[in-house]
Amino acid sequence: MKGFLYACHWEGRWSAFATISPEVDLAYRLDEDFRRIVEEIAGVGGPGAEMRRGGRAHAVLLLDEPLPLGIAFAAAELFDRRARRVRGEADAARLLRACVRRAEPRGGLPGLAGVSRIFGRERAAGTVRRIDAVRCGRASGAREEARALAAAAREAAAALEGRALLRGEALALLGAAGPAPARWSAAFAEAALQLAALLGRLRLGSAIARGHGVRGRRRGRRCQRCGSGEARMRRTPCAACGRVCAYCEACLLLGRCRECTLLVSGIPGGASVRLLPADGLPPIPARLARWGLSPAQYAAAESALRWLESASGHDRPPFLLWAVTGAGKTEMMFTLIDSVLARGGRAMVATPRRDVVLELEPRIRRAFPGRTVVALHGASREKWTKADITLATTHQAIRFAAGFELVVIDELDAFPYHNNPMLQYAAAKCVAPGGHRVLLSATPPAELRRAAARGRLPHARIPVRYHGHPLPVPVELRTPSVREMIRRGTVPDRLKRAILSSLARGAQLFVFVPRISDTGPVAALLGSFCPPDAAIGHTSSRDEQRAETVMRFRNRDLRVLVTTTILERGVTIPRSDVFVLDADAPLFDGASLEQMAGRAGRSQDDPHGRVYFCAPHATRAQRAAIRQIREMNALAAARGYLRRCGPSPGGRGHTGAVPITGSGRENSGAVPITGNGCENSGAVPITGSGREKTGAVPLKGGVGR
Amino acid sequence: MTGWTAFMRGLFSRSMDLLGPSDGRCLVCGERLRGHSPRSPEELRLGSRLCAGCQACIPWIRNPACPRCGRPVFCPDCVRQPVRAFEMNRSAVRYSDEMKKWLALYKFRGDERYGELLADMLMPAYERLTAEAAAGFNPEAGLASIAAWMEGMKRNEIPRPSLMPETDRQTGLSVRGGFRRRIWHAVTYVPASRERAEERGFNQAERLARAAAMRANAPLLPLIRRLRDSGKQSQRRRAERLKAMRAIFGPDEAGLRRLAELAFRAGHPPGEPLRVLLVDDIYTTGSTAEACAEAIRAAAPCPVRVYVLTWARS
Repeated sequence: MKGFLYACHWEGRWSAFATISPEVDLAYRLDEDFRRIVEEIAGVGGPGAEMRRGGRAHAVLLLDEPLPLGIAFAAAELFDRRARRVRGEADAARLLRACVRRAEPRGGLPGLAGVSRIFGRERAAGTVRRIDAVRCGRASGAREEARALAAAAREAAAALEGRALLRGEALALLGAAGPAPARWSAAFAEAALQLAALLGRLRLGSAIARGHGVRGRRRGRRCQRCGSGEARMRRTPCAACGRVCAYCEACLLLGRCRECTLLVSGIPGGASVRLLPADGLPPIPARLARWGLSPAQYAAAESALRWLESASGHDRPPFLLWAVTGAGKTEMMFTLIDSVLARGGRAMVATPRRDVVLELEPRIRRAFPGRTVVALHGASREKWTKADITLATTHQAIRFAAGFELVVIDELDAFPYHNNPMLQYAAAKCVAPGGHRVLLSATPPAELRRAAARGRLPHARIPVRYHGHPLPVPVELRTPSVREMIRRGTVPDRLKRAILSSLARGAQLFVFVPRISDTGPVAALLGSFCPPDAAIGHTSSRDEQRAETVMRFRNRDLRVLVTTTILERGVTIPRSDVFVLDADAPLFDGASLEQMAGRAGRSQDDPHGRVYFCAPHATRAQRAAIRQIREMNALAAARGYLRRCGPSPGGRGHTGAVPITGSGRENSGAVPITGNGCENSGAVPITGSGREKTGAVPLKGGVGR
Repeated sequence: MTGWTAFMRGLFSRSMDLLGPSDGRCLVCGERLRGHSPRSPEELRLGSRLCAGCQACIPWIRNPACPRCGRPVFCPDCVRQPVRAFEMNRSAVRYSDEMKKWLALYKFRGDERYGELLADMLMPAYERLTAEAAAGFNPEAGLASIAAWMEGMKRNEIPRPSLMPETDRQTGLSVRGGFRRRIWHAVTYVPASRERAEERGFNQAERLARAAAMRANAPLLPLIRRLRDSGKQSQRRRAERLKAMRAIFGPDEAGLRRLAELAFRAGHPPGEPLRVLLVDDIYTTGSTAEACAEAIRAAAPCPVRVYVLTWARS
């Protein structure tokens, strides 16, 4: 797309501006009537709003040649940095042309001349035209036009608030493009956008801009939407602007950002003002009562709320809610959203995983009746709806800028958000000035854990599940590698016994393997010795019927599911045991192992699932995961969150509730029943009967070695 | 001082990149490319972009069943309409769902890395078309060249560039010779409408034609102009397509003049036809190719034979 460049003496100094609709600019700069009308109707926003009363410009120096948008914006910026030295109009015109020359990409690709010949656009020498008056504005028809345009600009500014959209997307949002019959013509919509930008309600720029380093040193290009740097830029000849211009490969999935594409960013209409102080709200305990939280959840939610409602400063660190798997993070998140909504703000919940979005949507709708909720993911239809609560994948967050007073990032250590600078940039960008960021995770990355431990990161830990039972501690089983087992066609007895005992107790089994190619063979191997009524399925990211297979597993049609890490999160099966084969694989890091272990014992009815790490040898990741789980159990016990279900533990006696499985490695034949304290009290009768049926499994602690 | 250390660090990281294994990843599935010995020249070329699995799913057209339009199966279209404005069409691949996905990523998503891939994939079809055109131009002498290609077909191989030597011994035509002896006098492409080109930022047919022109060592000339936007072809049915195509393309006078100039300067005999290669991304009903060929032939000052090269045949 192309734009125009002009300079004028404005607010006491020379400035250059790039525009997509020069008529609007000329009228605004040169016609006082027009300006008065539009400012009256659309209002003036942004910083320096009062200073705009400077009167009309004497003349506008318009460069006659349409320029690629990126060049026009870059030239305007160059001009402004040298504007102090300008003396008089002739000087300004000279500088304007010099800035355009400097902004042109130097060198470029070989064959550039050929390209411009093919597109039939030889470069013309631009001439600067001096315009000192516009003719419109006196007639009443023109006034009507100005009014309509100003109303449209006001509407556009409101609709685009908090968003960062490419031209096509912005026009679709405004109803000027897309499948529906156009409400406005594209030219009118562009004029409205330009007017809103002149009034300081929107920011227009090229989607990829050159950054300027310190001391005027040139730096590489940067995608203004996703923040990617020069490494993800790709330069190609472009038919839209007739030059070689760069596009961003990183955010290509959400529409292409080019140097010559327009990026429209909404400017929040004083967002820091919009969020009311918390004094008007009922006290925290009264608000929390509504959600029916467990004591651990209550304590964490309370500290998070206090943080959220304390005086906000700019550039605050985010708040980390570090909750074990199955702790009920969602309800705690609701309390925070509630606080922000009650104070007139808007909230976003971003998560790397689409299935989490789909799962969360109905729950949020139920929790907040009367509030508008929109769920955004790659396939969602309602892309442009404005809502109180926006639920989005982290990719969709790229389309927002400074739009939310609260941004909650769920599962922040999951793929693809973790280690993806683009998505992290996008998530940080959505927060309105003076807004808050809350991170949710069961397994925060090491740097966050470190920051939390050193007190640099405000955080709350929820060490126990909502049902108050401790996390099942994984047992290490020494087995050959998966490949070896497949080659031999047999499974070692101790693993066989563990699997059969799990099946006998009526549990469903997650069997995790590190490689996609192993899922099928492992399923076949398990089928060789499992009872015939236990259906075995396998799935992976390559599986076409993945959703269907998982659904069958959820419905208990499948008793055993062999899977890769795709199911390590988000799936809750009421009565399930977990077997991680090849737990020593480098793919399984501590967080991954912890998440997989977290699939077991999630429900109230069967809180003591079993977890096995099967590997030829121990690794640091396995040890770390087990240590972390034990630490959380110990913390829960120390804070008194664990439900007392055995003989009253006193002092160190709480270890009765935390299964002692550290020695499981040594007597690896043992299958410890986690939480034997509970079993003694008869809370989980099935584990007992399962043991009796198989008969061969010695009970750790009960029988021992 | 900090600038200096940053510079050194940058230098170091860059040199580490050079020392380490190349970070090639498959364009389609993102899998790391493993260095394996290529089995055919096509794999050699595609191997730097695609993994073995993704290469295997390319539905190459090895046996065109229709001598006119290059369809791999029996073609009722060409039976119905035996006289065409172009000589023949050859396509590289069948337009399978997978190929549809690749083209969509290129055309609609704008991932221009696919442009290079598609251009590479076009080359086997280009070689075959060149061989067949040379044979057709001089039928008696060209039989040997065709026979070699048939042999390749029987072995179910992708035709190799080696089948088409620099200078064909039988026909005396060459890729690098003077204008008269050249197989292709010009390469051209199906133009995109201005709005479409501006929306996409490129014309995929032009990009493919550029690659073919490089290979053919022939000038890339715009010979056709789009008189009006036809709307998107992919949303029409057969009859609508044929109708919509009429009166959409007109000759590009400047390009044709340049072609005539080239022919005149090289002393090309005025009665002898010029061979023009027309490149497009997909051949569906042939209506686009037909309309373009008609436009070129109607406006050209000398007889022109149009050969069509497309990436996919649906």
